[in-house]
Amino acid sequence: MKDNKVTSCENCPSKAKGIFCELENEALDSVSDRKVINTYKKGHTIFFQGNPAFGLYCVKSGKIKISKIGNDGKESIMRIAGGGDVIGHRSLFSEENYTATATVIEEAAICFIDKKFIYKAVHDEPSVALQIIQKLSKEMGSAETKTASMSQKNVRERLAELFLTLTKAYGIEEDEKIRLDIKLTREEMASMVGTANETIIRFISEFKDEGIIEQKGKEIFIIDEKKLAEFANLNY
Amino acid sequence: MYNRIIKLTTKEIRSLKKQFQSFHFNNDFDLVYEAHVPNTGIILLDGELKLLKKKKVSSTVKPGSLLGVYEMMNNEPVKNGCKVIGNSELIMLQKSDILEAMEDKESDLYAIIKESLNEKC
Repeated sequence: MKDNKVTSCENCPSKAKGIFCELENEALDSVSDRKVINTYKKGHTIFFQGNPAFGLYCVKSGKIKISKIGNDGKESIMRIAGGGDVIGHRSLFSEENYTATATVIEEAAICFIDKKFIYKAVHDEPSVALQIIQKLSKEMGSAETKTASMSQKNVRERLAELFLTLTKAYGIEEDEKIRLDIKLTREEMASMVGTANETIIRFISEFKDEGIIEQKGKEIFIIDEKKLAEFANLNY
Repeated sequence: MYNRIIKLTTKEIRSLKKQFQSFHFNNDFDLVYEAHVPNTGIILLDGELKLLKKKKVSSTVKPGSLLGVYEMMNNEPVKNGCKVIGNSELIMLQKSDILEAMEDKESDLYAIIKESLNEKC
């Protein structure tokens, strides 16, 4: 078999945030040997709702949306995954078919690790099991917060909350502003907030008028994070 | 194309079905994109696979075929994408399965896949 040092897990830019972050030497080399790495273009589907799971996917770089398609055909975005995140793990461990679809929104390098190897790693390496539990717990926490927001907050508050979440995950400080290093369409933002496109457009305009955010082309800058937190009504 | 598309015998398929779980794909789905390394080996039991070049169908794979093992094990990108057509039944061979078979050269799986592991027949 061919050996490729470039794709070694040791050199992965997202290793510190990944589930194999505490593995060293031979244990990490075995992951490098077992994985399959591919670069996916925008629009590529990693896995599809209803299909069976054969392994998990570790995101090296790029961004992937995890969404569910309802009976009415409407898409609801559950979360956005980026470097260091794993996707497809819930269905893998629950032994269910995928309950969501993963679609690339920004070109992504993704490693696939087969089910048998992951199960063995969870059994043999407690740190891998712990990292997976931590990731599942954080995702459950985010899902609970989102459910609460959907029922307790209005659209304006939910949009402000989305911008704060994106700031935390993808914010880059530039000239006293925070640039969101993620490009989402209006439809995707509307799906994440749970409202119509027209409503999102109206509230984004309002946020711009209030001097809370700025927009240059497809890029969004957060100008006033404090006011955004007030709008998000975080102490609800 | 794929380096190896192996036509399996009825006996080999029966043996694989005993050892591995098969899965139904209800929708059309891109199993492997063009210029990607396959994540798994693919055995088509029922239904149809389309091989794609620049999103156009270049050929069709019929049931009883094994493909993708050589490319997966050698980290070699495929020249054609591979799309499963809805209502197909497949066995997906994991890298771990192949490595186990390579360690047990007496196994049924090794006997089936050894041809697909060789670069040149």
